[in-house]
Amino acid sequence: MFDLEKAIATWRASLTWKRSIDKEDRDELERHIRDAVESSMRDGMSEEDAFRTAIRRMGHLPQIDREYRKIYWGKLRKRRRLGDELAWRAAMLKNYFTIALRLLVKQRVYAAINIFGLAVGIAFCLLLLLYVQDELTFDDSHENGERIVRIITARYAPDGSTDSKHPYVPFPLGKALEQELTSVEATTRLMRRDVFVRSDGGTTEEVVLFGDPSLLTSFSFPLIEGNVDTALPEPDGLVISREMAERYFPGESAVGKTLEFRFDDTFKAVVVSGVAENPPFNSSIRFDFLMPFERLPSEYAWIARNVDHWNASSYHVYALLAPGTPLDVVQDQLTTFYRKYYAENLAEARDEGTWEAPHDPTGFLVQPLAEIHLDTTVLAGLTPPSDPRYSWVLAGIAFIILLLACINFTTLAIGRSASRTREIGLRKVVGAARSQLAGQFGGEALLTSGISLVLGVSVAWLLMPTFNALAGKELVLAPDGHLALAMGLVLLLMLVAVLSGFYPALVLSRYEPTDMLRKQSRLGGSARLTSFLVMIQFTLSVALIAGTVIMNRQMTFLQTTNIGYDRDHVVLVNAQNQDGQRLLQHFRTTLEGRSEFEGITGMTNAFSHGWSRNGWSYNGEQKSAFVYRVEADFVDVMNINLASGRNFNPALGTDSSNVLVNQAFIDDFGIDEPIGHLVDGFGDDPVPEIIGVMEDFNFRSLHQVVEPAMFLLDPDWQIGDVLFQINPDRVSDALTLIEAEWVSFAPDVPFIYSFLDEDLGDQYESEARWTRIVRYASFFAILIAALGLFGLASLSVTSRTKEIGIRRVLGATTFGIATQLSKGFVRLVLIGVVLAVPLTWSAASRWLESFAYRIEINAFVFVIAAILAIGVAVLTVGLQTVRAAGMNPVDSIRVE
Amino acid sequence: MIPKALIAASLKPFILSVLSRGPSYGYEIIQHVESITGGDVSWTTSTLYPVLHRLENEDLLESFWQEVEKGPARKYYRLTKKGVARLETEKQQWLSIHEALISLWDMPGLKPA
Repeated sequence: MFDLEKAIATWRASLTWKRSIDKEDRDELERHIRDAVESSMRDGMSEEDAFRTAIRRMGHLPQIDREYRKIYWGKLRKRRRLGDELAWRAAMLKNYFTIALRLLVKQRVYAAINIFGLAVGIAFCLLLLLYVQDELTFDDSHENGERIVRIITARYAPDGSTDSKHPYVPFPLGKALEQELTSVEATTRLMRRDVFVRSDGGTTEEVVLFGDPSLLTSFSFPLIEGNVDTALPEPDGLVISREMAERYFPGESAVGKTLEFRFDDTFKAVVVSGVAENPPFNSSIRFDFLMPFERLPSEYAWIARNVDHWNASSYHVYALLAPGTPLDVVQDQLTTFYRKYYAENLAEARDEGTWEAPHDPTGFLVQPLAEIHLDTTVLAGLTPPSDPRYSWVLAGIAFIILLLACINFTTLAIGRSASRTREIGLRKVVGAARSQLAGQFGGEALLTSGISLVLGVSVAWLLMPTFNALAGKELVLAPDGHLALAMGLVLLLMLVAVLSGFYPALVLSRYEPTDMLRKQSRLGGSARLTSFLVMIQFTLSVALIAGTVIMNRQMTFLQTTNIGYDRDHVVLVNAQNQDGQRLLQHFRTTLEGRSEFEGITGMTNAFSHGWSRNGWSYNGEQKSAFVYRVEADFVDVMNINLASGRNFNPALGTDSSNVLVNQAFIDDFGIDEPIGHLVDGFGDDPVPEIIGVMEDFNFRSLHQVVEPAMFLLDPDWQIGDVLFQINPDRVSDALTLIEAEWVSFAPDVPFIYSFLDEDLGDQYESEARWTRIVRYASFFAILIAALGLFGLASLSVTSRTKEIGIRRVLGATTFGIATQLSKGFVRLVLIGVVLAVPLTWSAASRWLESFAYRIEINAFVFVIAAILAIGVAVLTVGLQTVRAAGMNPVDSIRVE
Repeated sequence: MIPKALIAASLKPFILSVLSRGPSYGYEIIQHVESITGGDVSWTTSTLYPVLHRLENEDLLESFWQEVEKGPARKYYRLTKKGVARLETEKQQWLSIHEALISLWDMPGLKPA
């Protein structure tokens, strides 16, 4: 029997679930229903029909809620119940927070996976942020920075292209520029030397920067003690950095105190005349000890010989331009200046026929201060330039790692949502709107990312030294003045929370409460998304692993490939502007024949120390070749193979005008019968004759193909490097002997030596650096991906515990069950491997293209990466499944 | 069948016009409008009440409760001064649209004086 009162009461109660409808609204709506029922009954309708009609015309509860929600805030304002609303919100927040914390603790394995992964991702991003900030703010701390330029030297190839640019200019250039160029207000000459510093605390080797006093006025290096105009009196002033002042004179004023410096062989006392703030790390000019440039000639004999020498470029010159001078005006003046001072050299080169191209063989260029750091076409000056592409690649790698961690968060959150269906269902039933649920899960993501952020900053702090070593930086994680950094961190936090929490929040809040409470929901639709995300993770991980393998192999190839001559156990000693011929003779008479040495020879400059490229008109055609002056025993000492002809014979006087050339020379010049052929156009007194052809060897880096080269004995060419082929078992003895002989030959010049193989290795320093960075990245990538897979596997095992028990009871083996459970995951990883192949292939090919000599990318690389990735996947998933399969079925079946 | 959008647009002038004849309550307003339009204009309850509340928030209406013989009290709405003024504006707006359409349809006979 229909009971109107009961029906109305039930209906009215259902309205109480909606917060937008208050008691007064319920009263009003109830009255409406009653009026409608009464009216319908008067028209002859039954009580039950009348009620149903009235309810139908009222609309569904969600529809009523939607309409009332539109006016909710206006009503509140009207009724001044804002306080209640806020209290209610605070209570909800507290509840969300409690639930979130409870979940973190209850599901700590997943929380740990998420937080660890995100922390690593955030740490990577943070380091990158600092790196980019450092790169972009390089050299921008100088007030006059926009007016400061560096003078660099350019060398041009005979075809007009730029052969090389380096930041060294002759000694007299600085003063001459200042006097002659109207656009130049002041110049600053700089040079850096290693010097021994002695104090009460002992002796250490330090780097001293020699510079004109204008360094302190043109640039902005704030002084702590002293005045920029007088702090560096010539010739015996000394400005030290705050760090050095604190090290040598802790707790007292450094000005007036004395330090001792050994420029050559005796210590000299120098009085500190000023203390400067530590120059910023991201400045291309930095110093701990600064002395006047004018002091150099009196301390170093070889520099004294350079004072009026326009052909010895060993010095840096920076110029402060007059305000508002356009760069092209300065450049024009500089070109005129160059032609004036080098007129004689230019005429001579043309007369001798060593330079016949219409343009000048070299020239001076202006380079704005702000461009110095990111211009890699100019050789390293006071600090090495860096390639801006580094920043982008680093950014990409950091983002990939963060993405992998966010994917873990997403997939695990979706996976775990099955266990939260009851909570979500209940929240929906008692009136939670979808946006509120989404907010709750978003908030949970924010909490997790907040914890990760704190941890990530700590990880970044811990990794900082490693990262600095990798990236060649001296970054610090200091809170002071890093507003951009703080803002970056907050942005990062938001990004992570949105990336990782957005989708789960949408999915979790979507389901109908009735399904949720009945636990019918399998959340089927998102399984596909989870699979997709896991696949992406493994694609990226495999790509990084394969990239690491390829880069490692290329690096090994560079170090071990046969470059056509002996590079192991070769020691180079640079003549440093001494008479190379005499130096070589000295070494030959004192050391040759001793068991420590297998050979001693000399050349203009070792292959790792630069080159000289000459251009001339050969049979009316412009040709160029790298020309080296060598000793007759060069080919033997360096173990270079001759393809045809003979080596130099020191007994034959005529060999001083004969040359050896390489195969590339023969090919480029189009010579059919090389032996006895005259190299037309290269000098005429007499025309050099080819006596032998060398097999091609890589005298430059493996980035370039072998180009034409010519080797001659002409004594007019200076020897710049002496090469020792030393006995591998007696390396240290050999070095001691060489140094002793150097000191006896040139006591006032420091002994500088290097190993040829290490020198050549330095050519690939940036490649080696990238190999290391990618290696780290791929390690973390696979670790994060594996952790995610571990979490997913354990979720899947948990939800199938009962199934596993039943399978066991029915006779399945542990191995069979483990296979059954791992199959899906391993398939995803396999797809990831397949997708990674084209990705890696294209990226690695581009990298390899920068080498003229490179390895082939073969399937082997991907097999390694695939085995590694699948191995990791099988191991993580396998561990979980074997554990589950090994459980006593009696226990697993009982699991609810 | 009059489209929803037009019904929604006319909701406010209908409410203001009905209430200009004296205080009324939700159910009565619906009944009244249905009867004069022959059922062409009909609102679901859930759309009417929130609009009444919004007009009240805008101070065009005010409400009061009145006891009835049987069952819970009834909530009446009446126009405020501001509501009376707003009705005038609404009337002008509807009339100008009405006149424009009439002249376009070339029905001068229906044109109000």
